[in-house]
Amino acid sequence: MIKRLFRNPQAILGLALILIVLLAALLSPLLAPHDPNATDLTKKYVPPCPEYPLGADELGRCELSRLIYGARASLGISVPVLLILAVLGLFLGALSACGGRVLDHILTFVCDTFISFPQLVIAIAIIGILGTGVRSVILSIVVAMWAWFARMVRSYATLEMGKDYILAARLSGCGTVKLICLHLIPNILPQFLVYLSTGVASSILMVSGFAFLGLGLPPETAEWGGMLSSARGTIYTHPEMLVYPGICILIAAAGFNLFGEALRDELEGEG
Amino acid sequence: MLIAEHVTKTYKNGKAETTAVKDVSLSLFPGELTVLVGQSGCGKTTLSRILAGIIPPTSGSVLLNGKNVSPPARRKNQQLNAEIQVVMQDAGSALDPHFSVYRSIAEPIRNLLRLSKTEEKARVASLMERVRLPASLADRRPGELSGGQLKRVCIARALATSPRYLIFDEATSGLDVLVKETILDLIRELHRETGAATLMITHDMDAALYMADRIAVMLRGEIVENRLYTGDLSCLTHPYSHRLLEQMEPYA
Amino acid sequence: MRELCANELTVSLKREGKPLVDKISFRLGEGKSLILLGESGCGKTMTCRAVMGLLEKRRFHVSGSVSLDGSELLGLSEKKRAGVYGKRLAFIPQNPMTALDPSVSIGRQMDETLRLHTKLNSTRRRARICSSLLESGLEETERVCRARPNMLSGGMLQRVLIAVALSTGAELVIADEPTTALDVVLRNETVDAFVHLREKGAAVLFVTHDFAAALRLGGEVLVMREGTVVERGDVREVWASPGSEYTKALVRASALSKGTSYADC
Repeated sequence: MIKRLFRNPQAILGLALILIVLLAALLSPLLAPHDPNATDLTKKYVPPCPEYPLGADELGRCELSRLIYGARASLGISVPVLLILAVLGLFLGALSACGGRVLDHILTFVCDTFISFPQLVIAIAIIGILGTGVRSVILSIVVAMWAWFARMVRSYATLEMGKDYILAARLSGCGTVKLICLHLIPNILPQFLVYLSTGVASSILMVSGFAFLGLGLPPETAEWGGMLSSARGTIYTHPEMLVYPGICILIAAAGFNLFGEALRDELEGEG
Repeated sequence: MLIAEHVTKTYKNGKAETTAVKDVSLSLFPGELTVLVGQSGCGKTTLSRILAGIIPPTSGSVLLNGKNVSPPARRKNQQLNAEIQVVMQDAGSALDPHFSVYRSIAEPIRNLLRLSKTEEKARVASLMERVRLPASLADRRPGELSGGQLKRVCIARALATSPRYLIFDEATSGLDVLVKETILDLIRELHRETGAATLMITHDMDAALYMADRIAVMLRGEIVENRLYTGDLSCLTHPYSHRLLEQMEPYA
Repeated sequence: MRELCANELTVSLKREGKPLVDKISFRLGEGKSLILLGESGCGKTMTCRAVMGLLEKRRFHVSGSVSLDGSELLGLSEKKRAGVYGKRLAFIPQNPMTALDPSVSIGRQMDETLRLHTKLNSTRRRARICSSLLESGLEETERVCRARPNMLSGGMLQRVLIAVALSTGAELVIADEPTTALDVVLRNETVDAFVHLREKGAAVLFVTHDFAAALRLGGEVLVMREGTVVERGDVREVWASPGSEYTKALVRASALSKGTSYADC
């Protein structure tokens, strides 16, 4: 299946975009020509030139460097968030599906409560309580999204649990824990990965959204959403300051979405 | 002996109640191949699952040498899992699509027997040989196998712990007629080799007469006839048994 | 219709050479039944689909000829083929659920079909629906008409489809393994409904791997293996004295407990 995936043009495109963003995030110190936070008011709004390939912003900071380091902020938050969500989602979802009716009812009730709130509202509320900083951003996104993941895992898990091979495994002496780890999770992992992939895209948008609203990260951090926000004021004089971070957000989110959807198409074609 | 005593199973659907199994008493004797025949919907699959301890009866009990057989008992007592095994109707869905043939067959060995890696390998190889599965298929996945091969894998898995009670639910459904004959012959051969008490569930009277030491006829949740069968059809006296025998005759 | 004719019908995958159906010829007249008998992969379903024109041009190469009353069917566009078949063709698939709308009651679905294909008024349509349900062996016509497909068993649904064929006066009925998922009693009842269809004048093309179903239906049988016809003849005669080794094996496997006389009880 992996071979088929690599022949799928959408998957390749998505993967390419993801790689660009990933490399930018990992190799920022090597790729960026300047320190993204180095201000130089004499270089305010310098047009693109050899020293500043995309020009400079209102504080004379190199635009390209800020974009490149922006990838760090986006992925640096989204990837840990998704890992936490993956573990939480798998654990709680599997528990809900296999742990008996009472537990299932309780967890479903809790999930439904969280899901009924718009994600942004929850996130803003939590940031409001915890204040700024990477940790509060991560926590607020996790709290906003965990219920969706748990519920998704639960529905796939419930479907799998009804299948004959699970019964056969029980008859072969498989305990519940072994059942979940050896049989259940490997069989729902492919669909779950798809969900994770598109989840990264949502998370990136959320991080940028927070920065745009002035929440979460310290205001001067090189982050795409924050850059968008700062550029609002100069939309007529320096529109490119809006376009650059906008395109970066687009590339990152699109890359993960495209890849995730191509993955799902391949899986559905298989099944 | 595996004994079901006055087993009844009712399902509640809102206010309506359906009785799948009505006051059934049935014993499985070691060395005997019992065939439970009946039309679809008569409750034979439900009864087989109660006998195997997969679902609990609403009333009545199932005892194995005096000990209770039921889902909680199976969960606590691994010995029960090793003693009573079931081969389910749809072989394809009874196998984990990610497990190789080897791993599927080895699963009960790993969970229920304490064998070393070498012993496990040898046992899986011998099981595959017994059900006439080529050793080259050991690394294949269910998606790559034919219906007959899948069935053999399930049978090999069921035999892994040398169970003394084997239950086959519609062993040949979905299989081509020539493959069907081969599988039935295999089941008979294995039954003779192992001396296990075997229960076969089917709606196919022809297969029943081909295989049975004992025939139990089920109609709407009740067992209407239960006889030792030695090739003489006159032992079946119930009108419904006659009806099933008549249906076997393709044309008047 | 008077006759469905196939002459050296051959189907192969465009990519590979080996034919899935190799030069099959047969004639099926009205009021007769033709049985394609064989195990899975023998080409019987492919033949069926070629006759109905359901094979994608991209994947399959079909040659030879299939004609209905002299009009050639192969190579026609879907519209033209529908013009030739008209409402004379009824198809009964292995899984009857796929042919019915799960959210609409049976009675309404049958009514819609009749409205499409006939010019009867509503009273006459209802009468036709009831009589065709009875003829296909479903006695509780009221209950069946009110029920939705998921409330009826597989065997009953098959007979509903047969009733539909009866009600529209289908002249050619093609059935693909209609009894495979049914137990013995239902199988016999379903085949009896097909017999009834045939007695009313329809031509029945019956695809199956079940010799007993074939015997009960009666008619000409084509025993197929790997795309070719291994033996052909009247099904009961072939059963009584099979010619080829393959047919002999099928006969033996279909009556494993033979040797015991059924008449002895």
